[in-house]
Amino acid sequence: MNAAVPRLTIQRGSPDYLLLALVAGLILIGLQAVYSATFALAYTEYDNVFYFLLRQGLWATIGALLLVFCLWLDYRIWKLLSPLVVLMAVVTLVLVLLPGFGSTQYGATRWLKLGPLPPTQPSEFVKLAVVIGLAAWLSGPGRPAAGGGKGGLVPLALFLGIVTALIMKQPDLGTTLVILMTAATMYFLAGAELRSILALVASGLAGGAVLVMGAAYRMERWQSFLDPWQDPAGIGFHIIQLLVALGSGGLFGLGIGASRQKFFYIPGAHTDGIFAIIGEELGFVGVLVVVCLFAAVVYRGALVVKRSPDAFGALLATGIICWIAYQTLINIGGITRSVPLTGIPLPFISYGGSSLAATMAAVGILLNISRQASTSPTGPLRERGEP
Amino acid sequence: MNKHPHLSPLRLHLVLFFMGLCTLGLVVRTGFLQIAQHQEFAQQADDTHWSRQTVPAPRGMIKDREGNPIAIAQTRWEVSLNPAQFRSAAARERAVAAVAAATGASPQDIQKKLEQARDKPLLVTDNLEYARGKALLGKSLPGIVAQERIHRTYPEGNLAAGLLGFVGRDGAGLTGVEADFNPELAGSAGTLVFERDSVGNPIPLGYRSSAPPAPGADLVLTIDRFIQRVVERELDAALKKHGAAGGTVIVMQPHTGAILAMASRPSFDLRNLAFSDPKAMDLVRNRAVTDLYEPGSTFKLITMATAINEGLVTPETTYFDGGPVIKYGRALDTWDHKHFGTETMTELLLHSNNVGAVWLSDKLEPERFYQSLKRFGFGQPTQVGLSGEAGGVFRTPKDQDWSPIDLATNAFGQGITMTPLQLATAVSAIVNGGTLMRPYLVDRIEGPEGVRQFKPVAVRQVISAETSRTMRYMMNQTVEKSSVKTATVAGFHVGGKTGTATVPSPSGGYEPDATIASIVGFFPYESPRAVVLVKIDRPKDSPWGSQVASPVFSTVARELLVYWRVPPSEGVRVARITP
Repeated sequence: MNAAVPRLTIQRGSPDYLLLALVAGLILIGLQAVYSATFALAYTEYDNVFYFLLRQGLWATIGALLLVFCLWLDYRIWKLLSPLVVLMAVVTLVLVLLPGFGSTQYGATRWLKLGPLPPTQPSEFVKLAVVIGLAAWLSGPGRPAAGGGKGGLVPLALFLGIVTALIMKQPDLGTTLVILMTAATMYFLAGAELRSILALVASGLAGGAVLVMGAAYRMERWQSFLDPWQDPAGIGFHIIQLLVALGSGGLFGLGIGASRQKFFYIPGAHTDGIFAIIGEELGFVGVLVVVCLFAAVVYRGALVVKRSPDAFGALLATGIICWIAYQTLINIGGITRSVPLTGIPLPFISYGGSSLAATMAAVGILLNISRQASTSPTGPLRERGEP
Repeated sequence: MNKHPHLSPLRLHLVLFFMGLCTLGLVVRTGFLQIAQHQEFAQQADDTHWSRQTVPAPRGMIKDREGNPIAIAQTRWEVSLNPAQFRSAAARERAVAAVAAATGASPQDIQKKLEQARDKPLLVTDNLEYARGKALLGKSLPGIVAQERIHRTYPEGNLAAGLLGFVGRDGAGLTGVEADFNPELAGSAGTLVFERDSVGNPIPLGYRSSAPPAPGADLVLTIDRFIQRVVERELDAALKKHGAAGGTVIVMQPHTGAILAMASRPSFDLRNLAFSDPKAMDLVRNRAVTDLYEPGSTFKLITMATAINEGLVTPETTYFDGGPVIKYGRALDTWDHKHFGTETMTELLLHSNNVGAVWLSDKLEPERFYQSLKRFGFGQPTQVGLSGEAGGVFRTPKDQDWSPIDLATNAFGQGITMTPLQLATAVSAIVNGGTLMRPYLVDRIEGPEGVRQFKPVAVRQVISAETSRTMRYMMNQTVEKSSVKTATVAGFHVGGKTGTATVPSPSGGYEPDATIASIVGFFPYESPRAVVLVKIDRPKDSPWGSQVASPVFSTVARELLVYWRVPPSEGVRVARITP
């Protein structure tokens, strides 16, 4: 980089409609899957088969409004707002842990209750905040990652340490993992030296090992990952029921709405376990469609990274696609017993308003970056950087 | 200069490559699970999702001979709450409220018990009315577990408890007729196959199929509920009046062997089974067929009938009672130590003279006496069809420990054991014309495939019709010439013989104070319709059969004669039968 960066001539093109369509497709599949997984539960618990579908639909609408707003709003504003965004993220994470604000479900304090507002999971928005903050910092003065030497490793580790410590306090290992992997990738792409990357990854692995050994239930999850059939009615129950759901789906599935495993066999069949229900009802074919949609979203997102008009946009887009990709991989990996189970929603699909709204807002930002990039991959980049 | 000014494309491609690799790995892994291992997982899913439940068959009724139900089966629900199935506090409240409303219990009470149960399933009731249970299930609230139970109810209350027996929690008969005719009463259970959720409840809109249960057959007893009620009432009254420990009354149709009533005390309460106490199990047996006793003087009827049938004596035959007889070093005396000099056979029965009985046994000799006992059915169960029936014991000269003294004491009902049912059956043969009938309790079984009628079974002719007629006359004289006349029925002629038996002590010999007061008799004299045996164990105020048992016989006879609308024979003198 040199100082002779010319003035930017921003072309306000059209956003990546294909990307928008792919995300819309995932959301629609998600609504179908949520309905399929919940109508029985909704009927017995609330006398209304549409109970969960209606709520998810409402959140999708809120998400759509956020998406349109972020699509309209120049993404550069986030660079200016980034200190505020990060500060708010940390504050909400602290608030969740305070009695009177936080709400505990399934043994984890992840929900924030503010007055009459529906409970939200701040950690979902924190992912976005961390991505914005890191993108702003890494693209900011001095380009700390690319600066050689330790390359800003210390402040980065400190920042991530604070945020993830607060999230682990809930506790929420899945979100922590997504944040750390996303941050590491952004750091890597921002030009960090390999030594720094390795140091970051090594400390992450060490921390992870300490966490697994430190909590009994994480140790159980690890053991149930290694051999679930050792205790099929106890610690292995969850993962075995997920595998039974997937496996019994076969190539074409049992048909929409025909899942049997949703009948209280799979804990969180409509939230973190929804991929298993999709696999059971739509089979391997349905799984392939969902995976291809995600891959296409990430691919289109990568194109946005390439065409970003500036480093902030590129890093911001990187963070967003990494977040979506890693969260998807960890979720599906857990359900297929490829990695240990961690409670984490499948983006766009799992039931859960905060996750849906946060990811849709992120897609809005991604689309705003895309519309500020040229339609051809070389266009705006050429105009700028060449001396 | 880098073609890409902001981020290194190489690094971006590396990241994308890493993501692609992970994705590919997951796709392969998922394909392996869904295609290669599909059969295995589908099998496992089927195994967990299909539930097979048995549907209990409605148990057959038990009715009296007129078809009045005395034990009926109702399908009830056993309702439990399983806290593990509550998915929210609100769901818990809803379930508790619904169960409380259905059972009439207070929600607070159930809530409290649930807390005490510490989230283990709580049995709320095992006897919820069918319609209410069905309505409760219709709400399909998670956490409410209901199971069908066949519940016995008894329209006649505790009538004939020891005879009927009781059914266990699984609906199977455990004692009495309920146990002995369980295969007929039980029917066969149906099955219900359905898809279930992880806690075992049928899933909404899931597949169901069922094979209906085959209902059990109804059992029609020979018992008449009116007679049974009279008998139990009078038995209880006598036990109370005389402070007795227990007793038995049997009413039998002499010409068929059909048992019209059979009651024993102590007994148990069918409607309030409490068998946690092992001593309570002692109350459930049907003592009329399981418990042996030494009959005492009622047994002189058998000795006399045998001697008359053998042509050794007639009612007019006389013998000389000159005081206690010494037999093999043992003095055998009359019960009141009175002696009557020369008396007839009829007077022998009237006075219940032990010396006379010994004189008869001398004339009979062991061979004829014991042969006759066997022909009367002693020493072996009557095969009435109840399990646990005892056959009684007596020694014969073939037994090593038999001694001639046995013959002398057996003749007046000592040293020989039998069940009340055996004696009633033998006396029925004496009064019915001489045919030993097999006693029976079940008149017919009314199954879905038709009616199985049981017919009276004649075992053998024991004495001649003429001997029978003579014995009826002598029994009538025994009652009507008696000095106390406690067994007579005003306006009717009846026959009978009392007994006051000593109770063998477990340590050898006889208990000094305990007696069994009894009578066995028949009525009406002209054409016997019932043989009634009354046996009262250990009465406190009076030891004598004539004081304790005869009034019961008299009352039962009077009630039954009226019930059967038998015209009184007042004024009609009993024709004297001369051989």
